[in-house]
Amino acid sequence: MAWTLTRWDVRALCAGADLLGGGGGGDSEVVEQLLDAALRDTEVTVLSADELPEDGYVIHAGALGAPDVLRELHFDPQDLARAATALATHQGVEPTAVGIIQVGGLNAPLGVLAAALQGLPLVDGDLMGRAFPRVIHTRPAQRGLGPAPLALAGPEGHLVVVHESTQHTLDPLITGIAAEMGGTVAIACHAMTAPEVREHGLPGTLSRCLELGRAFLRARTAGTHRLVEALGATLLCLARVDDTVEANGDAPGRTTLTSADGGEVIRVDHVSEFLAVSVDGRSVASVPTVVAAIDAYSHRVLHVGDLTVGHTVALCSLPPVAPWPLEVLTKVDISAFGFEVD
Amino acid sequence: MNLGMVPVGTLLDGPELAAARWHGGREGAHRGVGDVRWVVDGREAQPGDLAVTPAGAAAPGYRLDALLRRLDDAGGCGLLLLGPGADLARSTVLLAERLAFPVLTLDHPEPVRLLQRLTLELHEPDSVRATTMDHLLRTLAGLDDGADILDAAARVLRARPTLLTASGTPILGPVPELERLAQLEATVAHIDQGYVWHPVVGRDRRSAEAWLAVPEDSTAPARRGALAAGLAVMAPFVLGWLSRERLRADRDAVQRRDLFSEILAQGAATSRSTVERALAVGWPLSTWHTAVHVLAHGTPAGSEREELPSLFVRELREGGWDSVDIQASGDGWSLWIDSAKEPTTGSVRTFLGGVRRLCNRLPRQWELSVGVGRSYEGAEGLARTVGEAKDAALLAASHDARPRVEHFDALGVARLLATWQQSEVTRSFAETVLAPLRETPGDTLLATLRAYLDHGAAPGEAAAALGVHRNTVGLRLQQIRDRLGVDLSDPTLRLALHIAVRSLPHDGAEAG
Repeated sequence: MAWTLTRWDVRALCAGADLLGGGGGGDSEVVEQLLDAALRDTEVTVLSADELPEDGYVIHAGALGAPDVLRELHFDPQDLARAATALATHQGVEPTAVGIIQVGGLNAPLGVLAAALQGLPLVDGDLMGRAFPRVIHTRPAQRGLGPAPLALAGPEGHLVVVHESTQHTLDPLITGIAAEMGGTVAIACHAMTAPEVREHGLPGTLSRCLELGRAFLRARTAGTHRLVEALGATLLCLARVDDTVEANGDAPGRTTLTSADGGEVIRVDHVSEFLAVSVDGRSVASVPTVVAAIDAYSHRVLHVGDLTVGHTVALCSLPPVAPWPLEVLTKVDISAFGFEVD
Repeated sequence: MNLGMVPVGTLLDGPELAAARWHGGREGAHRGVGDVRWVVDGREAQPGDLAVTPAGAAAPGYRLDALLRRLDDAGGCGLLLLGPGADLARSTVLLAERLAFPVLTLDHPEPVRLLQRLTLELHEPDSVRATTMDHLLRTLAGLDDGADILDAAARVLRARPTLLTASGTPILGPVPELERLAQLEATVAHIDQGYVWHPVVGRDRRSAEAWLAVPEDSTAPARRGALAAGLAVMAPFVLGWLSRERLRADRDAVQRRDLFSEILAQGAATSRSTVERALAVGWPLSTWHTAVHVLAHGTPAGSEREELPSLFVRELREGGWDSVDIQASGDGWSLWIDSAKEPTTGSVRTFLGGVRRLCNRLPRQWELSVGVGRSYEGAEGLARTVGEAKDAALLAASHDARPRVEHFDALGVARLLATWQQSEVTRSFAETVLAPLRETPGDTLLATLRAYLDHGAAPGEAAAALGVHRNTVGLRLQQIRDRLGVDLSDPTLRLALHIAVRSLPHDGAEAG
């Protein structure tokens, strides 16, 4: 059943996307303003994957690179349209809808923005069900249906189309290009037919994200325990940050916390998202489960970089918005990041 | 008894790990270490393990945390990481502190050698103990005397053990210096008041027949363990000796009883075989014998009645008189002491005094009556002195004043006194002289005077006999002096008063 996403849904959408970012995926604050402006005069129609026409064609759009750069660098929303158009031209198709690459973080509102700018409907769903560090972590990519061909559009007017690449080289290749283009670029990828979207996409995650965001906004002023309960999440700990070490290259970073009541030692391993949480040396949550950190006092959703010494945070694991099928689970679970946990 | 495990702290602070760096969990240094084990991920850990692992195997940090957790769950006692002593993740340090689980790093060039050395260091007490026990067993093998067993054990254990009865009375070895009674109820080895205690448990397995104790010269678990194990090794040897002793004592007792009856029955016609058997049990019949016969009218309770003869013999020995033996005879016990020459009058008097004092020390309610016979030579002499002692004991029993101890010679004097007592002249003299004392209720002063004179004018002994305080006797004597107007230090007056007192019949109620 198609529905309409309006300006009034933006706050909830961004709140939900922040939570599903699992500590990464970029801060949606800047995009929230862009989207709010874009939806002042228009609305976006949201279709479920089943409602796409059989010969429909979906191009997924979002941003790639260092999300923090967005706070300082001007991001031109038209780059999204440029990249999408370039990819459509390259593929020789007329897109019928826009898709969201990852529902966690700023790429959720960016997908809506891309749809709004192109005047196309949006598919209710995404390709990750949360946020992952790399574009190759999408579910179709893990099933062998890579993101390429793809188009990258940079703020200085650059436009790069990658025709094809292997899974191993694609990520370093486009990350390098993005870095050269200024750090963050608009990306259009995963040009998929409607049946492909139905088969490989994660359906309904946009609706789930909105529900989560609405629940968060409603319960935000309640106590921390009530808030966590309202999200349907599991509270892992309420703890104070003792020490934090940033990720360095492939080596994950780690944050050590001490629980406020029981004195338990909590360890959080992270790259750009939270990967694993252990309490007293026992693993309590790990990817693909989404772990969200919420400031215990302001109830702001925190990113990995926000966990600084002295902060008291509530760590909770969110219920999955879309289950990852078993056959690809090992490609995105904790072992894929070089961890072995019990 | 925690004699088992060495605290891991002693190993971690030991010479092999002097260069190791502590990262956390010092509070866990008391954890007992059972073994040193090379671990990879901690799943192979056993309780008591000191885990050794290459730092690389425990990287990245989350793995180390998980390893720590697993070791703690398995009941391990510490983690030694081999590698450069770089800072560990904060979470690891905090976790080590929280679990009180010692974590150290050591950069050691030869991990295998380190592991061997640690294992040796850990098990050294075991090997020392094993060697000691082996040595002890070999030393004890073949020893059948209690004192020999204790001496041999003392040499091997380098500490002098003591053998005690189940009630805590020392039998052999040095007397333990205890502040309070040892807790010897259960039959479990334990440590109490600086001594390691081990029960010598008999066949029934329920009660300890005796206890072995040895002072713990060190609180080191290894030393304690060695001492405890040493006592455990000794226990069966001691039990064997105790059993043999008991058997021998029982057999001896039967032989002696028969022999004693024979000697008394045969009198002058002692047969040659009797003399030979007497020699075999250690009774020299040809010497001079002085017999003592003990009657206990107060019938002490069962165990006291059993112990009375040995108690009497022991008390006599403390006074310097070694009795040859003590035998049940008639309704009492006869014991005798031997001397190579005929005892002098002085020594007989001293002996009599000693027996009197002894009887005063023993409980009043036993109502002891003791007779001492004259000294005679030879086998028939033994029969005769025992007979005299019995007669004297009967005479003593007829007295009211304590202690009821009489020498056979007193039988003659008693007859003389009896003549006087029955004389009207003496009687009226006494009635007159002692009248002032008879005005007191219960004839207290008369009884006091009687006790005083009976005990050779010694107020202390009179007080003991009356069962009152010495000062009370002193006070009463002053009253007696005042009432009678006599000087009690005059021997002539004392003799006159003594005759007077003896001539008066009295109702037997002792003033107290």
